[in-house]
Amino acid sequence: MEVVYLGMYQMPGDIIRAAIDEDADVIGVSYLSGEHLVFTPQLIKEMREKGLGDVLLIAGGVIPPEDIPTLKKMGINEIFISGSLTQPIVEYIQSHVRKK
Amino acid sequence: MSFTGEMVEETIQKIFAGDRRTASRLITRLEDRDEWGREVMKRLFPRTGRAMTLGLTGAGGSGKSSLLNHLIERFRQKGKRVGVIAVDPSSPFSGGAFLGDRIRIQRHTRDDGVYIRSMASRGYLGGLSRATTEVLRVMEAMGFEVIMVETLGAGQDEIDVIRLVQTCLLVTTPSMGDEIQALKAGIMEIGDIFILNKSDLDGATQALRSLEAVLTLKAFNEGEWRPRVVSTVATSGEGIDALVEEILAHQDYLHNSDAMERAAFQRVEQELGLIFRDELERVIFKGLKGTGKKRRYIRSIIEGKCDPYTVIEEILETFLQKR
Repeated sequence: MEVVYLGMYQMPGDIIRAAIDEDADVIGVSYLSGEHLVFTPQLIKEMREKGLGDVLLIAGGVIPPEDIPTLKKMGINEIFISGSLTQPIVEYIQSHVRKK
Repeated sequence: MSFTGEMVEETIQKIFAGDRRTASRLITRLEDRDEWGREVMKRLFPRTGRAMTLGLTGAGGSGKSSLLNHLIERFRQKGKRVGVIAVDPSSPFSGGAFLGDRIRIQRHTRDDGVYIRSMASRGYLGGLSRATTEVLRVMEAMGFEVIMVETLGAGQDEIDVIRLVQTCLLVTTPSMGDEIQALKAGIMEIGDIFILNKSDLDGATQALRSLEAVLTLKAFNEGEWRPRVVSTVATSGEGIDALVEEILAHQDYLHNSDAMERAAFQRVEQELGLIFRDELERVIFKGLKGTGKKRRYIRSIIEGKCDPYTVIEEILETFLQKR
């Protein structure tokens, strides 16, 4: 797996553009400031508009567990909150990523 | 995967039109050494070779990416479309990679006149990977006028990148052992322009003198480019103007001498070598994949029943017989 790290404070447009240019199979977002319910719909919308519907979207960070169902309904494929171990994330990606 | 002539043609047209998504998918397939990618490259090639190409090498932490950030901005101000290839190392153990160069130049992401692609070295034994040379061609075909390749800064690939690009920038900092480092094999032969970044740090003056002194050790012919040294502080932007001037001066030198021709020759020579070795290996070892033969060969060598030379002779004979 090759991880392109974009850094903090990314806007949906930045993430989408990078995902297109890098031909990403997965987008991983780390929410640290409670913005997940506002940011996610914007991100999903742009992903769909730009034809990134088959790109896996996973999220992590500081997310209250009670928000997880809502986020999944919005379109996030899987959520790994703080404290998640690496192996489950790797396995999830390997089994769910689009085939080449 | 099978492909049709129309698919190739469609892709070509999209690349020439600068279609980012098509290009980015093509690049992925080139990295995976896809046959279709090869067909596309055959058609793209004749319309490439016209960009200004720069190489940026130097140890990790020397500030390559920060400098790159400034250079992108300057060339954009001049109205040039800029392509960036940022290479980071793949883990020799897991095969994975952390591609973290974008973070310093991410602010250019939404500029349509900039295309940034991160690439993992993928354990390429020969230094610079074949895919990197191909991506450079793709960006040229897309119409990018200035293309910068940022390398690992870990040895062999630095030597290779100078044959790939026209102008090579080597980045160093005051803390890097100065004289001794500069004297180490090859360093002074790599760069067209040496950048002493973080020149606001202690020891900068000595480092500058050391670099300049080491460069005088090399003999230059009449009219040949003498490497320049530029001091910069990437975090503040100090020295960037001078750097851009030197880059343009080197480009002028290339255009006004036969050096540009030599640069073009070296680039193609290198590409030919990389592609040839790559294809040869792929074709010759094709028969071995998945058969367990390689494992058996290695076992028999360990057990003293055979040796690598005989094994290779056998493989080659099989290959030649099949032709």
